[in-house]
Amino acid sequence: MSWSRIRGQDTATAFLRRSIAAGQVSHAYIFLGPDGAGKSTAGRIFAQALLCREGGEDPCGDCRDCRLMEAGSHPDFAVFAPRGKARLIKIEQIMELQRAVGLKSHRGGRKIFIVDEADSMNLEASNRFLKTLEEPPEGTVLILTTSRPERLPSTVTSRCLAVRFYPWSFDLMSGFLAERTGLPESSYPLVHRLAGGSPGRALVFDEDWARDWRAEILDYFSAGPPSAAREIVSATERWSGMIKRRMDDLSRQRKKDRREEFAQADPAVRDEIEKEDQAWLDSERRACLALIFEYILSWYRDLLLYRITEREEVVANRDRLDSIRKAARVSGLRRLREMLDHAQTAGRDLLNRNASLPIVLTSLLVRAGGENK
Amino acid sequence: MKLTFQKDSALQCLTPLQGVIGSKTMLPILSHLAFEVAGGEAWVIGSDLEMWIKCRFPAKTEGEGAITIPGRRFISIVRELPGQEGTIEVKEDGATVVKSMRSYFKMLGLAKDEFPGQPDLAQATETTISQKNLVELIRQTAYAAAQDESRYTLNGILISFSGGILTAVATDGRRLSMAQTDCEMPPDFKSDVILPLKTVAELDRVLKGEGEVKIKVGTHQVAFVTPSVQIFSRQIDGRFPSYQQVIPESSRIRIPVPREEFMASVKRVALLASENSPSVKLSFAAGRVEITTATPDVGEAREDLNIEYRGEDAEIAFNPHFINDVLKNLEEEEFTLELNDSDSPGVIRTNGKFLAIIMPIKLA
Repeated sequence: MSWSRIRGQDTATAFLRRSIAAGQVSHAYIFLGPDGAGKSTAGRIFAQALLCREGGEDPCGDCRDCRLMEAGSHPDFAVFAPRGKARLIKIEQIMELQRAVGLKSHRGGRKIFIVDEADSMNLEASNRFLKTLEEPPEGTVLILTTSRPERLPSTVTSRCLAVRFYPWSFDLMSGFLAERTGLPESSYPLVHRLAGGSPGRALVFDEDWARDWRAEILDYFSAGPPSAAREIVSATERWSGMIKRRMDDLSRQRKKDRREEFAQADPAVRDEIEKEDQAWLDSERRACLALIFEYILSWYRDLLLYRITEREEVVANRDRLDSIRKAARVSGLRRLREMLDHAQTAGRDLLNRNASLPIVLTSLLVRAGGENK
Repeated sequence: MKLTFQKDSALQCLTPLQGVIGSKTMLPILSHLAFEVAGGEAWVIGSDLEMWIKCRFPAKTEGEGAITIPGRRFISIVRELPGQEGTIEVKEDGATVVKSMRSYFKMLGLAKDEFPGQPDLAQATETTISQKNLVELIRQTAYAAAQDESRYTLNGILISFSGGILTAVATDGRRLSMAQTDCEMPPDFKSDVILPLKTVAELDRVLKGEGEVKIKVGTHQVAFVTPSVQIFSRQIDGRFPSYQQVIPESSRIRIPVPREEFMASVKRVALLASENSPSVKLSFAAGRVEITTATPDVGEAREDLNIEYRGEDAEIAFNPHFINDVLKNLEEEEFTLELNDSDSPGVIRTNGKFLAIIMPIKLA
């Protein structure tokens, strides 16, 4: 692995490389920035450079340590990430981390641990983690990554050296989309905005199913959201159906990918594979829910911004400009603000509180339909 | 490469390896066992990256080579083999075949180079101790270690080499046990190693022999080597608390106590002690000790015991489990209980090289 794998984060990578070159490596870092900005990858490259026998700011890729890192089997490196349906980092994982931190390094060099999405630690876990963070043994480097630092106790963040990763600029994203996707150029601003400047999330919008979903949802709102119960229920059913089909596809694909590994695995390992797959599917399902709400939010955001500014360039769904103009003209400012609020709350309820999709969606669409009574 | 083995002795060799065969999906190689065959000897190795266990596989060998095979499956196969004799053979396509009578098992291994190598301890200092003494040392101390303390140095036992003596110490902050034994080492050798409890448990399981065990002490790892088994372990990082400071320099009261009788009495009285914060009170008077407990909503228990004690009256309360953990791992008929007052730690000593310190519980 090399630093060139990370794009658009020159400040962060330059800082990390300089600290290796200067021999000023902190015992704890927190990588802050949006999902998909490359925080975790940067953590791995940083770890490999720190473990590399050559000791340079770039990992040599050739020594025993580099080869172990690339094979994912370096005994002095471990990643701890959220698990299970709740996407939590639990105290058991932190205790496992502490055990590993407490051992002397295997290869005689540093010991490096990444805690991915560190904000997924529950309070119990982060309190426990604090002890390790306060005084890790010499040669230990802890790297936390998070896109939601506000969820971490300040006692944790204040003990880490912050390294910022930024959302990709529009130019960087345009270049990336042109190179990696078949999306029309006119959609780049929307994708850039919906993906929050994260290349990882941007790629999703290039997939057929995501395009279909967007068309379905924007058509619904462009036509003036219906107020009749029958139509609302039918939309809710259609959208739930889209998610179900997508999940079935993913599940089938995952099973196929894992077939060989599963067949060779011992029974105990099989259980773990199944659990891991389920957790992965759960997180994919959340991503799908989030996508649906991003599309809905983009509609109302466009209406509100256009209503206020009357300028085309603020509109993310540029291909729907006509409908947006028309809808903005007939909607009150207050009502648009309220709908944006409702949509945001609904999205949060679904993602963070495990609310039921049909209920949340129906109630949102009833509110949306209210304007056409 | 071909190995011919006897089922029973093979199983005996494989048993200790079960504890380190991983179920981690992240690193499939760790769910495998590696075989190394060279110079007429076969060794089988398992690792969880914290510990490496390498056992001499009792087999007649033909050819040389190194392979890995899925660990749990292989052990299950050996256990279920229809005949006493079995063979392991590596085919040209890299597959491993296990045969016995009419059974035939073909398995795919992974490349042996992927198997994480055991630590290199060529530069380590070598010391020697009898297996029996080492196991005794471990048993007399390990129970006092902390289980999941975030002060990670307490989650193991300190093994301290100095002046031809090996000292083992473990503590969880409320009790401490220390045992010593002679150990062959270079004259000026001094070193402190903190052994993870997992390694300690494995040593207790594996070292059953009459012979000696060589302890190779490296800076980051330590190895325990017998002719048939080698256990490599990582050390716990950090400094063990300076335990000498908590050993009371002198004691006002010294009470000789018969070990087994006392242990049995404490055990009986403790049956009515509180589950959450168990406590038994010891009241010493000339010639006898009374052991009592009283738990609200449960009841009370009392038992007395004759002892050869002529000193002043004294009272102190302890957690009964802490007392019995110490006593059941001793062999002496009698021990000395040393006290100062009811708020100071009690010390249990035997004539040999053993000492335990237990913090008292406040008298009600």
